[in-house]
Amino acid sequence: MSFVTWAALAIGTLIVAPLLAHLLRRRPPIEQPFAAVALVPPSPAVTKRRRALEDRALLGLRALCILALGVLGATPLLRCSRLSIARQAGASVALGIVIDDSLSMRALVDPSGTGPTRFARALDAARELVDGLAPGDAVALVLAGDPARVVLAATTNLAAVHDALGHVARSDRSTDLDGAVARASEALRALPHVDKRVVLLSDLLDGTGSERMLEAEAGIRLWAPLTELRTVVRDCAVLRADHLGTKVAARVACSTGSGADAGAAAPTGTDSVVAAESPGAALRADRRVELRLDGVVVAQSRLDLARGATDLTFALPEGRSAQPSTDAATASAAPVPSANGGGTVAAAAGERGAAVDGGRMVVALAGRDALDAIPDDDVAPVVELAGELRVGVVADPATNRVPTGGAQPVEQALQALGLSGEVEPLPSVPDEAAQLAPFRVLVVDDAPGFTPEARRHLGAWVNDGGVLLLALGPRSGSAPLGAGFDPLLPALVRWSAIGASDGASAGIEPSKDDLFGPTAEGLGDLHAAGRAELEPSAAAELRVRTSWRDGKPFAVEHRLGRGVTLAITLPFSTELSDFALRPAFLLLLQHAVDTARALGGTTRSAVGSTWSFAGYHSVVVQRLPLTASGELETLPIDDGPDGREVTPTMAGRYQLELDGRTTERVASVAEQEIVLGPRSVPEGSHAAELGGVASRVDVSRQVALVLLALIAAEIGLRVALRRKRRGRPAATSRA
Amino acid sequence: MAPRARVGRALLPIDWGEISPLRLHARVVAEGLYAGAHRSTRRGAGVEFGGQRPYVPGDDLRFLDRRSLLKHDRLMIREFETDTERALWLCLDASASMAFRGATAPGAKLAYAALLAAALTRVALTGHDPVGLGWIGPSALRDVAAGAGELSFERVVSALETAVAAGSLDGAEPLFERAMRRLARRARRGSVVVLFSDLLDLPPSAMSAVAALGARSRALVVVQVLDPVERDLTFHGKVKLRAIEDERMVETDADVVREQYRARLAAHAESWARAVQGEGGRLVRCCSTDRATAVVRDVLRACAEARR
Repeated sequence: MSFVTWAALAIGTLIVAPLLAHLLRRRPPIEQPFAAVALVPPSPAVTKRRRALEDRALLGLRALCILALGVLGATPLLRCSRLSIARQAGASVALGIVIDDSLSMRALVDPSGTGPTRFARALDAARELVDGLAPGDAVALVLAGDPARVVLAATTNLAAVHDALGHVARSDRSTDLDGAVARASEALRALPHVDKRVVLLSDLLDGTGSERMLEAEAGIRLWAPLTELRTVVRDCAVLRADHLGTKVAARVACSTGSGADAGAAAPTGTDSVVAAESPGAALRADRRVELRLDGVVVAQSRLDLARGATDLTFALPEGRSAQPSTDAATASAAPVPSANGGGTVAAAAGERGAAVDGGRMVVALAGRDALDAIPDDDVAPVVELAGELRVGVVADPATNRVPTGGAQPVEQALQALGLSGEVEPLPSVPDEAAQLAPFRVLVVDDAPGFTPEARRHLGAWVNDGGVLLLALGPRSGSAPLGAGFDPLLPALVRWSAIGASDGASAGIEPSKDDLFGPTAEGLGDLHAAGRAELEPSAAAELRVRTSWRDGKPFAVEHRLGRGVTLAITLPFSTELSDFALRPAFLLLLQHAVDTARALGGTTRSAVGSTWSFAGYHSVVVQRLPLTASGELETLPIDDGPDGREVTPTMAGRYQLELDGRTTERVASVAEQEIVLGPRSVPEGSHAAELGGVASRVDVSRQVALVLLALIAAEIGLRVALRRKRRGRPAATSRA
Repeated sequence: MAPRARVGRALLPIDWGEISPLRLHARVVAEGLYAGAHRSTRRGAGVEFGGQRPYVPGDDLRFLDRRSLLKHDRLMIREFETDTERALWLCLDASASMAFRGATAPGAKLAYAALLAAALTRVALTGHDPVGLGWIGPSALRDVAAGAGELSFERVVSALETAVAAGSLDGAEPLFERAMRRLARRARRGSVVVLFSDLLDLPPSAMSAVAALGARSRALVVVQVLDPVERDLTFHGKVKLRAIEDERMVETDADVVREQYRARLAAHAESWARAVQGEGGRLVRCCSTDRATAVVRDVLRACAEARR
């Protein structure tokens, strides 16, 4: 034992001192004059009682005083795991605290299954940091769930920071670390502080697979203090489950193949800690994918954890549907068919997940897997495929051909975006409502206007929530008589060639762009043989999203009812412009698809994507519970620039009441959030000069105050006891 | 046996406390009583018919009841009542224990007894009865001869105000009996004798000596004056009690033996009451925190009862 241990023991023995003092004390009883002594019987128990402890309150206070003295002496030895910053010469600091509220942060800090979640630890760390700040320090709060959001702009009001931290809640979003770090850097950019830091409270698992290091802007240092969150964990999740007639298609992803192994093969510079597990442990796990209806397993399949993402198809037994069943008892007695013709397996009872799917058909993971980090994503509701996003593409194969062969650039781009939908090339624009109805996005390249009948049907389709993407080319400018774009695009379209001398107009002005974002810089030197020019007939209804350098509109947007028409003034043909070869082209298509999803074009969307309800007057969105005993959770409705908006932050099924019409949507977990590919941070982000988790805490002042309070309490108690004794009718004889 | 001479004859001043000034408080107490309650009568020659009795030789034939002789053929003598003065003798115990004063008492026991005695003096003098004062104790206190009038009140009160306590009576039978004999000699037949004492630490023969004062048609009233501490043993926890008039000590737990003490005290008072009532007297128990007017009224009532 060390000297410190002996010293602590010696101090501990002092606690016994007051007890010994009381026991050794032999205070004689008070002598009182009394005339009738002859009538007073003696009490034989007095001597025995004298040995008993007197004034137990005083004894306790004295013991506490000595204990406080011992703690006071041991104060320099006290340490705690409180996160604190290290200042440079005591200067004020500006912190951009990035809290990762993505799904992966719902895993436990300790992979063994005890302790708080990573999100809770990150939130606590943020509070500890804020508690340690001094007046003059500035804090900005950013959440790293996709999309990255600024919760609180940079402020020196620490109370406001605490209040904002109190409103941060967990979510099932994917991770946007790049965006979060960028937004935190932006929030700190204008501050006068010399010491600026972006504090990254994240597990650094964003699943992007990017090898690029996370870096803040120049002059702002990145600090990732919570190394305990960097353990790469394994997780399995049911991403989606779709009802296809008599089948249910499910996609299940596990981080075994790419995520956990990626931890070992992390990019250079990362110091992520890989969970200690043998490679065969994951394979030995007995996990199954079950299709359950009203809590009864109707089909199941063994899950191959080594395959990463897996598509499974379950054949529904006859008479089953995705709607709630009232014949659960009959279903439980039926043999359980195995998916993929694997025979029949009895339904397992009492395993994990068996009680979370009452009332509806769900696909759930079952079986023991101690390494599954997030059990909450093991269940996904089955959704009717009628709501799947379908994208129609109308383009002339002659002008949109690719010299190397293959599909048209538009179709290739849509496939490259990895949409969970169906891209369908169309020979012409459908001119019947029934043909338009299945599509939620329609991409039309260089159309020579629309006939009145087509315009009427297209207008009704857009008005009902469709998204029409028009690429205006030379044919659009030479529409035949009677053809046009009104009311889809209330403007007269003309095509004008761009010569070599018109270099100033060939390209867009990035400063006037709110559509392409970072990719707008790449459109500054756009090469085009010509462009369409718009002469709006109702300029107020057109919203210019991007402009050419000469101020002419490059991309415009026209809202029509619940839908929107997006038009760009260049065709997709690579012979007329290289726009289709730019990254902005992909972003344009992504924007159109996202808009369709937001407008209700599909019943499934990713967690964190915003649902827009332009044109609706009454909007109520409620999250349906997974359990039969759960309660509906009503989501707040926000007023966005395009009308009312709702952002689902948790995966699950949502019930929408839109102007009295009830429908359902599903928010699903992004696949990249399950893959859990770790990101790397600069080596200096853990430098001790930035701060640390373990720090020595001097509580001498607090202990000394406690000691003084105890002494004051003893004095007060003594005075009270003395007064009490005086108040007794003791004899005061002058004898 | 415990030593008995620790207190000796050392004089202990009386703690008058709230009872001072005695003169004023005695007047207030006396005026709170019904004046004239004390009325003494004597049968014999007078103007008011007081009854008949058989004739005995030697009776004055002027009081022979002739109607009774003619009607019943019996010799009967008619008697008449006449008001007469009846002396009040006050006797105070001035032993050391009477100097005790508890924390809640308005004054020492002797001071309270002096207040009662002064108030009785006032009442008696109002009825034109002579009042005398005597002491019991080793201290050389001055007795006051019986006398009536306003000057008698001043003399009695002056003697009371100069009272001091001293010594012990326990084991001092000669001293106590000498005091009783002196009082019996001065108090004539038909007098009222009121004795104030705590009845504690008295010699064993004190009970019979006091009771003897009730002889010779004297009305004897013994007033036991106790302090609240002595009445209820108001100590708490373990306590060592030291006798005032000697070296006796007792160590006890007051909370434990309180009820037992009260029972013993009640039995002690009961024995005194029986002894006094055997001679036609009365025992009045009071505490120094009791209202003096009520106690004086009780004493007067006891005096009236003791005369019957």
